[in-house]
Amino acid sequence: MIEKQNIHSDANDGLDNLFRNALGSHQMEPSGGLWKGISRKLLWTELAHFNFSNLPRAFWIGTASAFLIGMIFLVSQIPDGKVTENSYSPAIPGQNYISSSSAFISNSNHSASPVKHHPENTSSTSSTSTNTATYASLIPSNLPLSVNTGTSRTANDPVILASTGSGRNLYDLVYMYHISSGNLFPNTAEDTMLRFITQNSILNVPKTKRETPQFLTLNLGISPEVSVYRGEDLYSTTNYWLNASMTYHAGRFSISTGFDLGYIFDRGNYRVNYKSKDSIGFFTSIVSFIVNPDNTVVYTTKDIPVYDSLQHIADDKGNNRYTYLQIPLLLGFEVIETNHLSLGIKAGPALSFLIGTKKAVPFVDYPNARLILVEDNTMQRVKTNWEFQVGLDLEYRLSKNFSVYAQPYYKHYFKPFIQQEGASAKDPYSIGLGIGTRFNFGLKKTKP
Amino acid sequence: MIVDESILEGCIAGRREAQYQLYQKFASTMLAVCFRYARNRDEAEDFLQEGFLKVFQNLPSFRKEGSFEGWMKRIMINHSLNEVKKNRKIPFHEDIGEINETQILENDEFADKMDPIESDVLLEMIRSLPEGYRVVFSLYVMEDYSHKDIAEALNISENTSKTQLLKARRLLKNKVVDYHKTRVIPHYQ
Repeated sequence: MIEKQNIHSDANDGLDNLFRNALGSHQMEPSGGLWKGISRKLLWTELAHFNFSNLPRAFWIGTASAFLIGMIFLVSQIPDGKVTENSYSPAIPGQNYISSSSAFISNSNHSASPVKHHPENTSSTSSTSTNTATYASLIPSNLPLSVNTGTSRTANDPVILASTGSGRNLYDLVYMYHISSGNLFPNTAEDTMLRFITQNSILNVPKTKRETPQFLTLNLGISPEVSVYRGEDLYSTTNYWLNASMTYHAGRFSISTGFDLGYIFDRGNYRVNYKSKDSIGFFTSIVSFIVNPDNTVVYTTKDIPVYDSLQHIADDKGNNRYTYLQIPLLLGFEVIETNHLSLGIKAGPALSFLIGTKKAVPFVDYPNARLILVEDNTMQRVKTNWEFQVGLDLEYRLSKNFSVYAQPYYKHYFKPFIQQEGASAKDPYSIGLGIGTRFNFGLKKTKP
Repeated sequence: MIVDESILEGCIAGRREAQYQLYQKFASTMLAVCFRYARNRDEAEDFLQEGFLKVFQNLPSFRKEGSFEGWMKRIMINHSLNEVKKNRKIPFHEDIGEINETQILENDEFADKMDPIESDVLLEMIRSLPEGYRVVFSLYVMEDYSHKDIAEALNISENTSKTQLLKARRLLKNKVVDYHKTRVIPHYQ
């Protein structure tokens, strides 16, 4: 251990003090951007060592509350994808077509100009109907609904389901229809239009059996990520992945796989052997002399440095680039979906293969040096590695078939990147953000 | 230089504004320290940057028994030396036997006659020394390391340390004398 000693005292105090006094309190103004660099590195260090358990309880309560409120808001914004919302313009101006909410089935489609729909308070109404016992049995008892029991109905007449409650009856009907998976009116044809009517609006619902939407998407994107190496020396590197994958969607679930091409950067260690001519000592050369009258001789001397070619060894570092091919297999679940936005989670394993290495040339910058040998002491990277990836999938639909996505993710590797026996390195991890475009094939969704 | 206790506590708590205050207070002094061991200013700033990160990381272990500036300076010096050793081989000239430094420059009277020289000029003189001389001279004279300390820090023998110091002093002495000659100082006319 180095221990500080008292200021040295010897015959050279004069020279030493000259430098010590002048330079002891010497200052140099750092460059303007230096603090930014420190601040950025501090941030990375903090992120790398971030411990969620250190967060205050208020943070967790606040985050949970915000998440809950956000979820409620998003869910409240979800429209029913199968419902076409139309306004009701009275066929004959001034005539009250139907004065309360009801639903009926027609064998022909109807349309009207689209405006916003407002549910209203409703009261009971009466119309023709048929097979009411069957329909009545399908209506949950807790819904304020009753089935009209009209007596005569021809094949072309609409079937009327009338509501007797108030407020949300119309939406209850629509909801009931959907939870029935299209079986609410089993005796009607597939192309039958179910029409829900209130005093000033109409909802047209095509009667089709509710199918689980199945389709494929092609995803192309790029993922910058930060990999944290957790060995004796903790450090991080910024890497880039090119992503190409196909995803098969079945309802809210999906499975995706493809190819990711990764450019991973890591340190390279080199030992450089070089020779340089260095001063190895001095000799004192007499330049001239004067013999004084008293026979004393005064010499004028000069120190001449002696040089020799010395061999040196220096350690140098470079920035190597490794190319990995990664095959992920991710399972996804869509949590929230609105007209334009959807949010899901994705998780699954991935297998990566080292397919290329590009080593940096060590920087040798020693004056008058002659390079003898450069030894590559870089540790071997692993050829294959398993990792587990989990992340979010936020999609914004630009059109029926085209969308953009952002996928923040966390990736945990199951073994260190470096092949080193007895290494104490912990498993590395990466945090990244995938961004890209998604093309939907055969998406059976209403165009937003 | 006294540092406010609240700044240190803020740094330990990870508050960025406290860290910035500490940086502003010591960056200029510490850059000058790092510059003694670096090849150039860019490398010195690299040392300073990493040194500050180590200071912030190790601040909780600062026992407040000595001066904070001294503790920080020691971190900067150790980090600079480690980086220098890691990245290149410092050329130290071969040992030339047991050195008795006090005898070699004995009766050297010039020191007593020295007029003050601007710090920039003196710094330039140190910068012009071969790296091995410069590092040993800085450690011995500026940081008050003993030859034993220097030998441990640089993985060299004590004799090598003494040799570097001797030669550094000799070169510096010549430079100082030459400088005064060019300035036509009366002592040397």
